[in-house]
Amino acid sequence: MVASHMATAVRPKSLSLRLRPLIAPALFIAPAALALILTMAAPMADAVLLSLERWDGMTPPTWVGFSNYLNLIHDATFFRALWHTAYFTVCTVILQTVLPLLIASLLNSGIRGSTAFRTLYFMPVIISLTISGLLWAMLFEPNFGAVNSLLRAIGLGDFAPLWLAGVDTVMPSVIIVSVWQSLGFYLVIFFAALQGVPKELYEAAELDGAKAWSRFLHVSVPTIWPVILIVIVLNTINGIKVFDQIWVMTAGGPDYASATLGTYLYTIAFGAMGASNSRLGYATAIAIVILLLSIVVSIIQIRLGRRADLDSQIEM
Amino acid sequence: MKRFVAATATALFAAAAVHPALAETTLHVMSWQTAYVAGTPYWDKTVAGFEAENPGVKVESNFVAFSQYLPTLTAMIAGGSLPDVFNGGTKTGELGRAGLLVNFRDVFDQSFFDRFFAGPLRQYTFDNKPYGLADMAQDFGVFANDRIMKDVGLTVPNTWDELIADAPKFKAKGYIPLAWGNLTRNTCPDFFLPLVAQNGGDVYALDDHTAPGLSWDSKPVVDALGLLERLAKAGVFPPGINGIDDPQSYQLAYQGRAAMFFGGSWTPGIFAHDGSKDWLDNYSVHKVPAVTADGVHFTGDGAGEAWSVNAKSPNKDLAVKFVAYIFRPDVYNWRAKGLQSFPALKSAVDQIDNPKVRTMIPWITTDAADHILFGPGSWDSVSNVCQSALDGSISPADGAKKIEADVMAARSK
Repeated sequence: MVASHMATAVRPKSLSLRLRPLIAPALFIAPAALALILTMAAPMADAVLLSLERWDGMTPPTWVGFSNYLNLIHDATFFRALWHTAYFTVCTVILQTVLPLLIASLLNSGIRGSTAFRTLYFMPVIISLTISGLLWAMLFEPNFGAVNSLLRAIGLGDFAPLWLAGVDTVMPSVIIVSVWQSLGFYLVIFFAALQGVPKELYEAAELDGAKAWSRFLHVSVPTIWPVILIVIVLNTINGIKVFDQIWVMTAGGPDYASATLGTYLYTIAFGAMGASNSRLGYATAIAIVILLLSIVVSIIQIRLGRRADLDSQIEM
Repeated sequence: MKRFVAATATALFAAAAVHPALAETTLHVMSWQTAYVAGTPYWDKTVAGFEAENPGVKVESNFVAFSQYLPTLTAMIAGGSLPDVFNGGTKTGELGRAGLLVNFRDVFDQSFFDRFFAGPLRQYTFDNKPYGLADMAQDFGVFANDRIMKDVGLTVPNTWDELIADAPKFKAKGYIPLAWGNLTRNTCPDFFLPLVAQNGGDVYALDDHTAPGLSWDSKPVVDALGLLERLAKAGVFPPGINGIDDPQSYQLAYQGRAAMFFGGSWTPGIFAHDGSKDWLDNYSVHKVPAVTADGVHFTGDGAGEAWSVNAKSPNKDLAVKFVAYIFRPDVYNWRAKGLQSFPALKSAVDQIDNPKVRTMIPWITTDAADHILFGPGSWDSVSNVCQSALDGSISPADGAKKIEADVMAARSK
C-alpha cells in the first residue's frame, strides 16, 4: 500500500497536467505580449531587415546585405556624430549624476528651504525638451540673447561666446541645457533614495569621527549605489539616443558640429529643412547601431555596478 | 510587417468606406502654407467654391509646419499614404521620377503653362515633365532701413565689393550691415546659390549633376564660396549667423540693429504683420548686390511651394480638377490678393498692392537664378559647407570639393 502510494507520488505528471497551471498566467500575459510583439518586436525585426536594404521610400527596396553597415565605416560624418554622441553622453552622465547627487545630499542634510529648492530645481523638468530648447536658443542668440547681454552688462563682453553658432561652443552649450533640464529629475530620485538611508548609519559614522564628506562617500554613496547605477544607466541611454533637444536648438549644425547619431539618422531618413533624398535603409543601419550601443553600454555598466556592489559587500 | 500595416489600413479604410456618413469623396490637400487652412477667408472661399461646383466632394485642408513638413512627407511616402494634392517641396523631382506624381503635361495644354512665370515653372519641371505647379513665386532682395542708411550716410551698395568696403562704416555706428540668420541652414543656400550664378555657374545643371565634366568643385562655385567668405570676414553678416534663426534675424531688422536685411519676396507680408513701426516706416527694397557694377544681380526666380497630384490616388482625376480650379484666374486671384506674395501666374500681378513686392516682381525676368536644390544630396551638402564658409572653418576650394564629395557620396548610398 505504502509502495503503491509512493509510486503514485513519484509518477511524472502528464504534459497537460504540468502545463495546466501555466494557462491562466499565459492568458493574462498574452494581450500585453501580443501588443509588445506587434508594436516592438515585429517593427524591430522589420528594421533589422530594412537596414540590409537600400530604400528611398518611393521605389521598391533592394537587398544590399551589409553594405549599409560597411558604408558607415567609411562615413566621416557618422564618426563625427558618434564622437559627439560619446562626448555628450560622457559629460551628461558625469554632470547629471554627480551634481544632482551632491545637491540632493545637501538638501537631505536638513538645510532650511529644502522643499523650495527641490521645487525650483524640478521646474525645468516639467517643460518639454522642445520648448526649453527653443527658449535656450533665444537666450544663446549671440547678438541680443540674454546670456551675452548679461555678459556685456557685467563687463565680460569680450568673452561673450557664439554659443550655438560656434563649432567649439555648440556642444558645451547643448550640454549646459541638458544639465539644466534634467538636474531636477535626478535630484528628486536621489533625494528620495537618501531619505531611505537609516539615520543610525550616519550617527555611527559620526561617532567614529567621520566628517560630512566621509559620511557622504562611505555611507550615502554605497547605500544608494543601486539608485546611482540606475541614474547612470538612464543618463547613458538618454545620451546615446539624444535627439530632440539638439535638433530644435541647432539641427545638428553648424556643419555637423553638434550632430549626434540621432540627428544624423533623422537627417538621412527624413531630411531637414530642405534635404531631398531619403536613405531609409542607411538610416536604419544607424538606428541599429544606436540600439546595439545602448544595449552593450548598459550591460557593461550594470555588470560593473554589480561587481562594485559585490566588492563592497565583501569588504564589509 | 509592411503587409500587415497595409492590410490593417485597408480594412480600416473599407470599414470607413461603407459608413454612410463618409460616403462623399474627401480630397486630402496638404501644405506648409499657414494661410491654407480653414478660417482663412480666401482659402475658405476657394474650398467652398470647389465643393459647390463638385457636389459630394469635400476638401480637407491639412497644414503641416514647414519644419516638420519634409519628415511628415517622407513618412507618408514610405507608408504609401500620400495625400491627393500636396506641396512636394524638394522631393518633387524624386517623387515625379518614381512615377508617384502626375505629369501635368499629360493633363493640361500649353496655354495653361504659358500663364506661369518661366522660372517657378522650370523649378518643378524635371526631364521636361512639370510635376509641380508653383503656387507663389519668389525672388530675393536687400531690405534697407533708410533711416539707418541716412544716419550712416550710405546708399544700398550696387556691388559686393562696395558692401565689403562699407561694412566698417556700418559697424562703427553699431549697426550690422546685412542681417539674416542661418541656424536652420535653409537661408544660406538662398543667399549662396545666386552667387554661383553671379559667378557664371548654372545651378540647375549643378543640381542635376549629369552633364559631363560639370561638378560642384568647379570655378563658379569656388568663386561664390570665396565671395561668401570675404563677406563673412568683413563682418557684413551678424556675428554668430549660424546661431541665429529666422525670427531672431527679423528682430535684428525690427529693432534697428541691422542696416539691411536679406529676405525673399514673401517677407514684406511678414513685415506687415510683425514689423516694428520704425521698420515699416523706413524700409525699402533693392536688388541684391552684383559682382560687377554692370553685372546681373541674379535675385532668384523660383518657388518654394508647388502643387502636385498623387498619381496613385484613387481620386486622381478629381485632384487634377482641383489643381486646375485653384489656378483658374479668378480663383487664383483670391489667393494672390489675400497672401500679397509674389504670384506665380502673370495674370495675378495686378492683385498685389504691396509696393515692395511689386518692386521685386520684374526682377524675376531680368535677374533670374535658381536657388532651390532637388538633387539627391545637393541641399545637405551645400547647406553644410555654406555654414562652414560663414564661420571661416573651410577654404573656398576645400568647401567646393567637400560639396562635390558629399553629393557623390549621398548618391552612392
